[in-house]
Amino acid sequence: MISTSNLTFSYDKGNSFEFPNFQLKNEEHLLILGASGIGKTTFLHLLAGVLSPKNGEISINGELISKLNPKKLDNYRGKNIGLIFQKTIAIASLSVAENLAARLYFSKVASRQTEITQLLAQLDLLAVKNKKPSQLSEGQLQRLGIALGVIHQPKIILADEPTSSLDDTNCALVINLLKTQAEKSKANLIIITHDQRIKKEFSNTLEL
Amino acid sequence: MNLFKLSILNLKTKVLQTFLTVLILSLSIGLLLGVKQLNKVFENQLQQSLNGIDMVVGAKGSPLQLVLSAVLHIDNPTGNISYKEAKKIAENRFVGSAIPISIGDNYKGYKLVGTVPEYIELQKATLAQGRLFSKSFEVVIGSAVAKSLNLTIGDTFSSAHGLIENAIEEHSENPLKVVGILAPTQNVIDRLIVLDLESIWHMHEHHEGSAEIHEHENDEVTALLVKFKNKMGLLQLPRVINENTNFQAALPKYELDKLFQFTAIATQAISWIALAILLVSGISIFISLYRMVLERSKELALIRTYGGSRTMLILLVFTEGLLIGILSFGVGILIASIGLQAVFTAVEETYKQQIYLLNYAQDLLELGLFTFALIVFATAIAIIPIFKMDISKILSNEK
Repeated sequence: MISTSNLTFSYDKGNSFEFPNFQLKNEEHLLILGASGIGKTTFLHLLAGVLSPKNGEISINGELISKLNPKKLDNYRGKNIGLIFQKTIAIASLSVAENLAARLYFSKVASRQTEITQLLAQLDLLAVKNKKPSQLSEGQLQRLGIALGVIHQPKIILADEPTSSLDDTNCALVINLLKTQAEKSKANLIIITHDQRIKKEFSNTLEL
Repeated sequence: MNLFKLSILNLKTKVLQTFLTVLILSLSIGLLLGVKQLNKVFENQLQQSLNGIDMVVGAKGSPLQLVLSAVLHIDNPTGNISYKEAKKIAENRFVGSAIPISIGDNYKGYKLVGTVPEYIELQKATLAQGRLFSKSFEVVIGSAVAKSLNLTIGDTFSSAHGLIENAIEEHSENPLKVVGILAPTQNVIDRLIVLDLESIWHMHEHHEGSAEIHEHENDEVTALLVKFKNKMGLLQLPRVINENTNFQAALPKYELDKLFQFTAIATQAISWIALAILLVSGISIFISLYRMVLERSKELALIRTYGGSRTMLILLVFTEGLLIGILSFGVGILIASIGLQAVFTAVEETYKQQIYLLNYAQDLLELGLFTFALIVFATAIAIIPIFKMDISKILSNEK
């Protein structure tokens, strides 16, 4: 259960954003649509606990994450949030499998090799599990990004423009993967995008 | 996966930069360690060799040379003095003990010292095997002599005239017999062959082909090693001897202190250079860590979204610095050990004197703590950007 109320954020005095309220039940998905420059990523980062709102509240399963102290917020974020970036960010000196292990280590989630192998197999990354991120193709990198967002079985998967740089075939593939993974970890999936192609895939949409 | 493993993999990724940083740091650590040890070891070796000898009386010449030849046995003597005259000094009321020595011959590069049995006591040496010499042409040898020439009790050999090894003028008429071997002392006596004064005098009479009957009246010694009875001796005797006799009195402690003042300038200069390099390597570690923080800001922000705390990021940087430090320290010790071993071997070959490390653990500890402090300091500055880090901005900034 996620709900937001009267969220506002401002980087400086002149430039402030107001965000609409929404409510999601467990395992519900949400597509947030909006043009560039209206604070989509900011909204996502607020939900992820990376930014703190100026006003308003974010409640996840009854917990006000906007009120958590920094240490608790770190812990909360690590265990419950899975962030997927438009361009995958990974640790350059680690291999694909090591990146997943590192993610679990920092999230303080027990690392099980079988789970990592299973996920890599699902995302068709098993063949490159010992390769560095810089050696991967665009598609493999994108799938690594998804793997890093879901390996710890988060409660909420947040994806930032996951499809905007993909062609139609791959776009559908990625959305499908995200949905499947969300179902597997019984998570809410929230996608923020300006990509109108995926609108039909979601019943729950919110326009910014 | 843990911080340690991640740090190692990070360092492996930028192997050239790591190599350079480790090279500079380990060189300065090695240099500092080496200079420190050399200084300590040599000063201690020389001071120890004085064995409480307050004054050396010998032929006129350079006082330093007299000390180096009569006490440390690393130079040629200034000349000889009359034993009869020297004995008069020994009878002075300020003199506690006076031991005559006569040097000038060698066996395979090891110096022969004609003296009295008290000399062995003065050098704080004890017999490991056999007994002291009791008659002419019996010798007691130092541990280094026994070891390197493979001599045992009962062996005989002929010495050669002069202080350097040659076989041209051998005293072959009077072979010397080993009757005692001394326990190692890490002192000059380890590399000496000790026998009585008469043996030396006999050898040279035969050598010079003079009369059979021996007259002690005209015999000469090289020097007299004097210990004072009290402090008054120090004030009175050297002046009296230098002014009123043909001899010269030199004070070993004073002469060596003068010598150290010269060498101290050189070792201090090297120490300063090493410290300067250490400072540079400190800066190099800082740059390496700082660049890591800046260049990997995205990765660090990513770790924050993974739930890693700020403390975790700081520990990550610190671990990387610490690994560089530990690696450099290891290589530094290796450099110092190789360097010191080379110097010690060279000294051993030239002066036949074995040298040992001194308080090495203490030096290691001191330098280790210093290196640690350097890394803590470098990390402390390098992590400043972590405190100013805006995760959201870094993550949304696409490159």
